Amino acid sequence: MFADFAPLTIGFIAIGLLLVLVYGGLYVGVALTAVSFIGVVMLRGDFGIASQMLSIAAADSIASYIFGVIPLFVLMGMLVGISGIGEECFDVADRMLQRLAGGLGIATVAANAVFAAITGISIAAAAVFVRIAVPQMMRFGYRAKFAVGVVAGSSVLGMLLPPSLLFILFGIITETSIGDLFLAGVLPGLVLTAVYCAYIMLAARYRPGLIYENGLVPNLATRRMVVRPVEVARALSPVVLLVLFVIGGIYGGFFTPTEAGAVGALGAFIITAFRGRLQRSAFWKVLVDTGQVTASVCLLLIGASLFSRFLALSGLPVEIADLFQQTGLGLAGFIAVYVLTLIVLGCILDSSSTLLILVPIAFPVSQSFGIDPYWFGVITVLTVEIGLLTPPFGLSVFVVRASLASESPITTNNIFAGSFPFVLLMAATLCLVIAFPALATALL
Amino acid sequence: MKNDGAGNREGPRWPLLMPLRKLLALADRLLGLLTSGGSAVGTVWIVGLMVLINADILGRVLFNAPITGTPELVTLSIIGIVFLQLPDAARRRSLTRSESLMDFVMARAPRTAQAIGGLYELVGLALFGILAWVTFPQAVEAWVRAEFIGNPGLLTVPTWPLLGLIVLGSGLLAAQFAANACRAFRLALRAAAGGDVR
Repeated sequence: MFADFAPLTIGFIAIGLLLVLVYGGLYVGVALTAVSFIGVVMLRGDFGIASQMLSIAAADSIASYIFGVIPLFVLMGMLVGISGIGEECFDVADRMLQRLAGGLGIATVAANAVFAAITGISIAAAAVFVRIAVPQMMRFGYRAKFAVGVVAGSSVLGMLLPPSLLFILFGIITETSIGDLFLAGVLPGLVLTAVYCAYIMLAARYRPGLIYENGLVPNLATRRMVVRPVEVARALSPVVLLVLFVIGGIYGGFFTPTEAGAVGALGAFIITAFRGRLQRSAFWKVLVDTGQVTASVCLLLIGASLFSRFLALSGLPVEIADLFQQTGLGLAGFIAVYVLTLIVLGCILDSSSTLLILVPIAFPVSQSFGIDPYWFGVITVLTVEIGLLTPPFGLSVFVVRASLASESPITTNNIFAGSFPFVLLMAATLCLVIAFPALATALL
Repeated sequence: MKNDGAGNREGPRWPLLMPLRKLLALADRLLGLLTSGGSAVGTVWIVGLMVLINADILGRVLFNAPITGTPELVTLSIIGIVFLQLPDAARRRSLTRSESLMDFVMARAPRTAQAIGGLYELVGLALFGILAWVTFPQAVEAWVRAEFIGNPGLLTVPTWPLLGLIVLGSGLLAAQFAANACRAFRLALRAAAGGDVR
């Protein structure tokens, strides 16, 4: 009945409509599903086919073994969040760097990197480190803006270093290996950590005004905390154990990612219980939060999977690839447009939604350029993470604000301003990854 | 956020509609019980999933005896976890959406914002209504024909609980979207009478 519309026109209209609806505040999962549903009806002129596709997307796309990975890794991340491991890592890192100018900032980044290796959700890290790192930095004369900025900035490491919910979503929607995606994120994650640390060290030496209140570096020689090897071991042993079982289990070929998630969740459960942090009410809250995250993420995945099918039916991705080839923009032009679009969409949406709206469009295009899917995945996740720190929908920034005491004078705008240097550093790292794909693919 | 069913503070504007309102309020309370019950089951199911997979691994490693049918049960579990939690997520309005534009409209034209919000809920109602409607006959057929997934002879898991959970979950979700829409439209109307819209 709509046969007079060319499939490509329908594809373009659908994408436009989707963006309007999403910006207008329709639930993202519902918007993806609705637009794809209407799109299929228009393409095929048949309501029944569209309904069947909806049913298939709901059952077949999420009724697969691999989806078990989502609640399990989220549960592991939430448990690790309340386990106190983050606090202990920060404490040890602080002791080790106590006499270094900017040491607390570096300790925050380093503890976040270690924490990131056992949790795959950024918000868990942001909430933990606001409570412990911010007061400590304020006590030692750091600027409030820098203190909250470094916490928000380094929380993104959680999504880059394995395990990572965003890589899991990317792997599911593109049908690429989650284990390999995790591996691809390791070097870029370490590079970002190093870039952050270098920035803090250089700023503390040459532009202390960026970090310290009135640019005054306090006399750190008076700090004489002892670092006992046994404490370091105590702080790091649960991390090492979890990494060994979860990441080691995947690469040793012992576990599927889903099994690794279950082992990790059980491990985190035992560690948290062992440390006396697992009261019944806290555990129930962790479970409820896990369920809510799983449900909303899976609704997004149902929508995104239907959207992928619809786009394939419309032939739009092939056409977009041709467009880039013909106009001579080529691969570089495509990557540039993709990154910019991710950042713009990331400004109004959270990271999972941004990823699940754009990857179904861009991934088939990227494959027609023949580029490495894992490199593409790292570019995607790193770019989406920038959106966590940019207004108006910088999720990490809001989590940081929410975790501060409500009477704290630090405003959301202060946090956005404070994390801006880290946005620039992330952009620089992104450019490095784009320029040197080996950063993502070397370990594969 | 509670739906009290009663229209405004100065007494009913349309007294004849009172029984209908009471009925709706009762239906909403029942829906609330069902969604929170579903959510609780889904929540406990996450622990079940974790225990099942770990038991499977232990069985495999220690006794060389994995639990047959684990992948099939994991599949069933993920459907259960997701579809039992979704209605409650919709009730708490914790489903992902962009709030920037809506907040802007809400601050300036709350009636319009509520009306648009109500339309959005109707979109959700339509989609998940269709999903429940289409999946229901499939679930019945799976029951009648005793369809299964897994390996015959080893272990099989019937398909009907899986499809049934989708029907149940999407049906409840559609009902919740309907309740949300009722609430939004009533608030949009109440603004006309000068009441509080948020």
